[in-house]
Amino acid sequence: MIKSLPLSCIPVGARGIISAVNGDFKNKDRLSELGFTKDAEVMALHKSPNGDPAAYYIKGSVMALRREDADNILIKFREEY
Amino acid sequence: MPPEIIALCGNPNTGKSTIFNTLTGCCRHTGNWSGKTVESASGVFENFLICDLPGMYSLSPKSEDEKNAADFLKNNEARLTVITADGTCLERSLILALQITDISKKAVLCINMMDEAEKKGIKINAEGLSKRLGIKVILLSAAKNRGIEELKQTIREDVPEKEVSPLKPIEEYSSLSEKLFKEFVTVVPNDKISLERRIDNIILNSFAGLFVIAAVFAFLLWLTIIGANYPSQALAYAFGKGEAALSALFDSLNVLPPVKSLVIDGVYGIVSQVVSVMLPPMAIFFPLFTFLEDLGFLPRIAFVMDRFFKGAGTSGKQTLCMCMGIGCNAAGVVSARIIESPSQRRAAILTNVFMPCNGRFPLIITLSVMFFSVSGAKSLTAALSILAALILAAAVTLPVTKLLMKGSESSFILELPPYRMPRLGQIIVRSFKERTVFVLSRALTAAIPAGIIIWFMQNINIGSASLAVCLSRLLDPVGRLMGLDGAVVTGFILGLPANEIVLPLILMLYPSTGADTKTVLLQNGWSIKTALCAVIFCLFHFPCATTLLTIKKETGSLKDTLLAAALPTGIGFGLCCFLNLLFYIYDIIL
Repeated sequence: MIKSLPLSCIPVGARGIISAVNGDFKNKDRLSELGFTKDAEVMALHKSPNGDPAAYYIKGSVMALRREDADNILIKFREEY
Repeated sequence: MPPEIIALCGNPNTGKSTIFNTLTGCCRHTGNWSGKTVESASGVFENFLICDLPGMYSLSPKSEDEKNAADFLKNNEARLTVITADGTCLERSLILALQITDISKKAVLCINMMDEAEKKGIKINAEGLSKRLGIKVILLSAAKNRGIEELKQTIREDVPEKEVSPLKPIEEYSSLSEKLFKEFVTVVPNDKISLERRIDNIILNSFAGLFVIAAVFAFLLWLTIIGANYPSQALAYAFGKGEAALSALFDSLNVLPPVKSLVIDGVYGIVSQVVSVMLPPMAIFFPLFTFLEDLGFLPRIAFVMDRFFKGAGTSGKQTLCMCMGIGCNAAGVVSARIIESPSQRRAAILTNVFMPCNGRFPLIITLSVMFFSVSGAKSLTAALSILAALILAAAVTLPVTKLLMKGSESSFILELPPYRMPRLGQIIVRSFKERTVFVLSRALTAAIPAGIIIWFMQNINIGSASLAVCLSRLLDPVGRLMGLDGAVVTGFILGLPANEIVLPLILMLYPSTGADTKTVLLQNGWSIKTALCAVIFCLFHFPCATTLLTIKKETGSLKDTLLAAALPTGIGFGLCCFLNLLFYIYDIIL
């Protein structure tokens, strides 16, 4: 059973709930302002051919993030998915 | 009494500028990408001064733009703060809206883009939300003029003052926005994969994106170049007629011959050159570019290009500035404000001058068509030469950026807005008013004094030769080293006010026999090598005076301004010398 995965690892089309955002991470506030906070639902929409950057659906908008940022966001999958 | 201020603020791309335009009747540039409003603009609505603040994501600002907006709001100078939110992503918009509500004495929340939101099955309980927030909530669709009247009435009537509370940690706002969203917004889920996602699947997920972007730009440039030919010729013809009429007028008024020559050969000559060469491509390029902007295509370009810029230590956002630089380098430099990191922003500013701006197109195209084209493929050669110039510029931008960055700060966070069909009428009016007229008037203010200086340089003689010819003789050795000659180098130097006048200047410096451009050039020893070196130097040399002034203003550093001039000049000089050497070796071998 999968518990938590970095956001960067979830495949295109998969949805999950943010379980934590790495606290020491320099862009934490920036990501919070954009909606990447605990318990928010996020979905991977698009990935570049090498997976970096990728676009995620968050709180009604589409945000592009690099792997370094997405690595610091942990995701748990909802049971029904 | 000064007019009372109404502040317009909110997330980027929530339609602040559209609301601003509807209220004030001004035509403010609205583009479908984050950070379009680079400077706060103000306009008059009845007795009020409306301030359109740059878009921001929070009150703890990251970029220069956001800082100005946040400071303004914290000071509570406005009679009313109008917070705009995007109805299609209200939960995210609320995070900022809640923060601003807390620090404002008087605020109103405008939820915009309601027409799009309704199409997506989103319903918002404005009354409930209003009660909970303690401020008025208006549902709008600014582009469709819906809800505007209610907003106008609110501004006129004023709203009751509320208490100001200090800012809380960002996480609290985020969870509160989620709570409010669940309570007051209902979404009918719509599971079909939208057209937008299908398009983005092609552009963003595969290598095809690169080709799509290249194709779009090739098509845009091709249209510009083909389309510009005819009006250019017509304008040149009209200016020719005007010159004859002006000359006859001066004769009838018995104006002194030197004055007549100064006005007609100096000022009128340069001005007519600049207008007939510059106006048509701009009048075509800017509307097309604005179309891409409004459509939401530019952030996608940034996304696709990010992987290349990651290696250089910056991000794909730099491509947005580069795209803007194709229109005008000064505009490109200003647009670098959307980049949060100061070192990345500096790199974006300093490398922007590598992008061939519209002003350099004429020289590149004229010489390419003259020297590199096979007959019958003129327009294709023209488009290809510009595309090659862009690729070369990008190829130089990356390593120079890397050099300037000295180590990478890896971050790229950018919103990809929904595609929105631009309104064509607006595009044409706006791009003409704000860009074409702006750039043209700027070029003319530079061209008129330049025309006068150049006329004097041509008409004041030292011994048997004019000042300009003396300068060109002096610079001849340098020019020869670069595969050019003194006249070309002098043309570039005197052309500092505007790149458009470089080629006309070069032609003026040659002893003319009145024949067409190519004959004059060939008579003065031009070959494919000369043309190639001239094109390369046109791509890589000091930017125009306006761009330099803009860089000084944006960076506040004279050193960086000089560097922005020295870098491309050094690279251009090196490349030209290298090419010259290659041709020299080739000649010896054969």
